[in-house]
Amino acid sequence: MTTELLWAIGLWAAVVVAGSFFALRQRGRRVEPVSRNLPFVAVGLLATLAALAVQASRIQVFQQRTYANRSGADPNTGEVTANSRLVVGDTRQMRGSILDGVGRELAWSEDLDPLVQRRYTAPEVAHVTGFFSPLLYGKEGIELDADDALRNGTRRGIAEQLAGVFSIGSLDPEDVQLTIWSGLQQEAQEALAGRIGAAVIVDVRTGAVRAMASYPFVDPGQLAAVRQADVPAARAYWDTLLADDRRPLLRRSTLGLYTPGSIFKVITAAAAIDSGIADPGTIYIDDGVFTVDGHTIIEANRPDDTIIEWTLTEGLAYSLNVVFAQIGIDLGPETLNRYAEAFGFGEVPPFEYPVARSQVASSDDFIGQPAALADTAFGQGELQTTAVHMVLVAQAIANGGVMLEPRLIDRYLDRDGATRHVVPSRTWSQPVAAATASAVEEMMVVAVESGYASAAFVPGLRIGGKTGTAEVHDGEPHAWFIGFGGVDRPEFAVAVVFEHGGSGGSVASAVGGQLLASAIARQAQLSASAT
Amino acid sequence: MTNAGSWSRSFLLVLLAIAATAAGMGATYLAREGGDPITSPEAKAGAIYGLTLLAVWLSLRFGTFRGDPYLLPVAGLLGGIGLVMTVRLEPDLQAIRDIAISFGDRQLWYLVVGLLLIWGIAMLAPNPEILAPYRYTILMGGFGLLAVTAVLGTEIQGARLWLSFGPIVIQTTELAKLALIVFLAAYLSENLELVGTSWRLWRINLPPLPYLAPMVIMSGLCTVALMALNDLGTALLFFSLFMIMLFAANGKAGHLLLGAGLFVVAFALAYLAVPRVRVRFDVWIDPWSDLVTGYQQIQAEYALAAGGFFGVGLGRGSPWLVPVVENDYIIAAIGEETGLLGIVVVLALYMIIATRGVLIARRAPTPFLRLLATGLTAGIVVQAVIILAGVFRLMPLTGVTLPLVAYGGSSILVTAVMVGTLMRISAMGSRL
Repeated sequence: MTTELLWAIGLWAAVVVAGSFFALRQRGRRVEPVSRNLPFVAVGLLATLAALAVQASRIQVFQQRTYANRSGADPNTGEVTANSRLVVGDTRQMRGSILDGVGRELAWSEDLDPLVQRRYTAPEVAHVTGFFSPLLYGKEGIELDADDALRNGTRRGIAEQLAGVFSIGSLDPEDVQLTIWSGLQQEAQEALAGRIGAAVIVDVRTGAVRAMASYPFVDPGQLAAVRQADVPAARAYWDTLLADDRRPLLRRSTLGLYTPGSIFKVITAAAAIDSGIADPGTIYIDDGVFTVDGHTIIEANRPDDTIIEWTLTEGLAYSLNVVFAQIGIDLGPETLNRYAEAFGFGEVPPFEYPVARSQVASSDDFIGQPAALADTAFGQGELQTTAVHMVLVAQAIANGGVMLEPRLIDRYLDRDGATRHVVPSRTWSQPVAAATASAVEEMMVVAVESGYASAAFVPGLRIGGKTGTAEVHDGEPHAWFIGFGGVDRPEFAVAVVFEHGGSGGSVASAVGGQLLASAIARQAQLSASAT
Repeated sequence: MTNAGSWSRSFLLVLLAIAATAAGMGATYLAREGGDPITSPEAKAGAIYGLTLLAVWLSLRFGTFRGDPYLLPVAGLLGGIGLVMTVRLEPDLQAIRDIAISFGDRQLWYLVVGLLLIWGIAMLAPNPEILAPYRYTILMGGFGLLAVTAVLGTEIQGARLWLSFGPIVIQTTELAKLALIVFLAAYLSENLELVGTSWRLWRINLPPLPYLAPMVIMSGLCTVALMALNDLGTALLFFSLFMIMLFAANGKAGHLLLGAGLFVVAFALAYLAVPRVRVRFDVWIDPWSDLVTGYQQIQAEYALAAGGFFGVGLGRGSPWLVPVVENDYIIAAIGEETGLLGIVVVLALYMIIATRGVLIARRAPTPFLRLLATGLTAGIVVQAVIILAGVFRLMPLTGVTLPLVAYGGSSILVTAVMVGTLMRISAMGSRL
């Protein structure tokens, strides 16, 4: 703000200087009283009016965007003073629809003349669109990410952009088609069955998100008030969201940060194979106890206490902590950290929704300690991650080591339903070689067919996966499952997490297997109806 | 003092004023998308106003008037711009305030009476010189009006500036402004030599205090009264008029500096003592620091920024989001819907008033008339500067009306008297 003050003072000073200069040049041909002083008065008035023109152009042209987009919140009430012109448009203009992957409307606008009301399909499906609350709480999710297209359409290509520069030709709002299959979304939401958690399913070859279930969730229809009469109900609903200690505004699928537990062993195994220190058949000794640096790890997972030699494949299938602790020590902190980062830890996947950042540790030197390194290698330590990130780990393993960007928006359509733009599939990273990925893929299939992830098994399908039981300080462990499945090669990847869901094996992997089977069946049905 | 060439330019100007008003009314009607165009309020206001303006111009041109030909079209265009904005804002203001006041009709009749006042004073009024002997009576009358207002006045938005006579509400500060200008012109012209002398005390030149004292006291009283009435804008206007007219009389730039210094001191004291002054100052420094008191200023910034260079188009913006937009913040509505272009046109029109007004003053036959014309010109232009600089955040906002443009009868009629008097004086001077 001091710059504005300095600017004002400078401008007034310029008026005085310019006024004096021109007035002196005007000075005195007339000698009559009063008249001789008047040029100064005239020049002073004119210079002041000129300064006003300068200031008007500063506000209206040079700082136009800054002023138009400024906003502030009242520290007492939290109410935001933002440019209401944006709201005026949002409450009075028809907005594009949001469709699911097969063209069903998830969100659409209804003309109440003069106001326009946003409507949503069933909340357990509609919550993937985010919310649109022009009078009260703004926009979230797809409603925010695709706001330009939904509101005005987007100018694409050189011709349209050039026309836009000269304000030629207005565009219509566009419809946004998501990758979501509402049926699968509904089923995933039902599978969570009122337990806090998330389930995300992506297409292994494209990164298309077919379902993104999350519980608890926000019903966008209850926030979409545009008539003043509807405002109190929307406020009341918002207050219940804030008062709910399950925190429904925290979308678990993207913002729920959890310790991964044993599902992280997939990354450790991939790192070991890819760096050449092990192969699926490498034998490790696990006699029930492993001590590193004075820190003792007790093995509770061996299916047979009389056996002390285990292959890497068996270690993954039976989730043997002692085996992975040793692999972690063998890899060393740098290598393990490098592979974790290659799998996206420390970064945020590009996505339509904000995603919480996964971390290996809170500080750089944590896994430098051997005990911490051992814990991290089997998924404990200070690891934190999200469901939408972990589904990509399974997806990369099932896709020859190529990790894709997850995406919810499939395409933009004009009002007649014709495609204006298809969002391409993009690679996010390639953490491991194709050979490594296929070795780990095979190991995960073994974990489902004869290991602890057997609850995910579906007859007739090839399903691979890994369970996780993430020990936490503040209650029951989180239950995890990540996996993939297809008829003979992987088609979909899934991640399921239940917050404080207990020991993970069966609950999460059963849901994971069921959702994979359902996605595969729906895919087959769609292909059949397409041909 | 005029010739056929300047009258033909004047004719083009008055046609421009009428055409611009008609075009603005047309654009407003089209954006509103409703009703029969012939009976629409836009057509009615545009036709009545345009015809009145044309009739007044023709009467001056072909009557006995031999004075300045440009002030009328310029004032007419400013009035037309204000009328278009008022008609355009009327449905929005009625809707958001849930009232049935016909803003457009009222403004139309204020302006029509204003034009007739200009015509009457320019054509028929006696030489303003006859006012000079009554200077103290006039000043006391103006001061008395303020005092009565302070006691009996109607309070609107925290300031008590209005006297109600049944349905008629008069903003008495506008009349007091006229009284002050006449008084200052008379007093200064009477003491012209003396107020120009200096007192030397050792090596320092001092202002001629004995001669300035009565005037300083009178103006000071008015200013204090206005502070008491909570009308900071008019107080600043009165003080500026005093300084400008004193400078016109004696040409001492030092007195301007001294006055500015006194003003800063007075302002600092007011800042410490008067909460309203403090709020205004803090809002000026940063309207975002307090979203409640800064709300109106913030909304004005949004409106101006929304307009950009070309504006969003008449009737297509949302200027009603700015509180009291038809009055103190009318320039924000103009800036939103007609953009920087519209604002520059308004500023250019005030520039023409400043130039023509000072030219009239220079060529007026007597010191009293010169000072009177200077005061009237400054009265219009400085008032515009005070409100515009406030809205544009070049100084703290103090509420005064934008002369001839903002909604409100007292301001329009008094400004019309000022314009008419300027034209009357111009008819007595040497050739422009």
